[in-house]
Amino acid sequence: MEIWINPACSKCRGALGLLDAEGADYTVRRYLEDVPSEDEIREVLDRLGLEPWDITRTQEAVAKELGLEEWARDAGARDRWVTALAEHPELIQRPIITADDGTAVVARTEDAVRDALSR
Amino acid sequence: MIGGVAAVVLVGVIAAGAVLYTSGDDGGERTAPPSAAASPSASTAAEPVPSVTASLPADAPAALPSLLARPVVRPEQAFPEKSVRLKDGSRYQRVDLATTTSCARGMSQELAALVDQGEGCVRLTSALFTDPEQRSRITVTVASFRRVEDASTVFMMASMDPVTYQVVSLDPPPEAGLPAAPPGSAGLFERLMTVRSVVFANGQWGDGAETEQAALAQQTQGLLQYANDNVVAYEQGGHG
Repeated sequence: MEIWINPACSKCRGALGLLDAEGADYTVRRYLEDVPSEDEIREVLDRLGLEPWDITRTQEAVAKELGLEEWARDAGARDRWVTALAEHPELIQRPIITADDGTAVVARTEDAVRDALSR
Repeated sequence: MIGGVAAVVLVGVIAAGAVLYTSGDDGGERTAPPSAAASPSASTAAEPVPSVTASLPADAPAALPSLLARPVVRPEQAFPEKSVRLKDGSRYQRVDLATTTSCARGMSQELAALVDQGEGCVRLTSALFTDPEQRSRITVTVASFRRVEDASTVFMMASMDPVTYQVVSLDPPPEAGLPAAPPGSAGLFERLMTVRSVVFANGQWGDGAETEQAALAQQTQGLLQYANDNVVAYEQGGHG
């Protein structure tokens, strides 16, 4: 199990605390420093079953600079979104847990963390 | 060790000493590199952490053991309100609150290593505040320790080098609808020490601006004092 975190994220701290409390075996990836490649982002999206705009923090300043609100959200625009996430990892929603069964969840709630643990 | 100094004798059980550090301030105070201000690195090799030991002064209050026997301050005691109005009339909204017993997760590698030299941090609680205009991002963090000596060591080292020995500022959660301060933004670092806790305040403007430092300092210091007062009230025997 791997969890992508930003230490400045309170949900990430909460998720880690729960993983510890449950005795989970996991690896922490600080994705702002160990930035995922476009291929890694695509793989995580596949595992999540989500599109890149679904895991994009559109309130961030860089999102506004890029004008993400105006970007198309369709198959033709997918690569553009993935590139933006790879170039600006602060746009990636967190924490993301890749579960042992190969799926992934955006673990912003305790239930979501438990869901990942149960997989 | 720092310059061969291995022992630090506390001069008092309750110490206070907020020091203002800003990026771009070359007026004799230490300058905080912007890149370090907002995001202490965890992936790069940290500088060796000095071995620092502290001891209680001979005149430590007799009540100290009983005070330390109490549980550390809880998040709702340190940060009881979502809307805060300070004595100067300023108002703030608490937009996030996080607490953990794995304190290392909310601090720089160097600070975590320093804490690891002692008997440990019991709880780290952080709250993120913003002003009514939603311009500021002020993270106030309470780190509570088993021993007064460890709190004192952390306070001392953070006062000497607030960039290296810093706690991590919180980013606003998505539901707050606020952008995080841009990575590497300049910030103010302040801290106070209570009986067994160190209260940190990291202040930034949400747009990363380095202007209006006096206003930012006022907000940062005000919220620091607010949390400190709450912690002190509990740690000195209050019920919170």
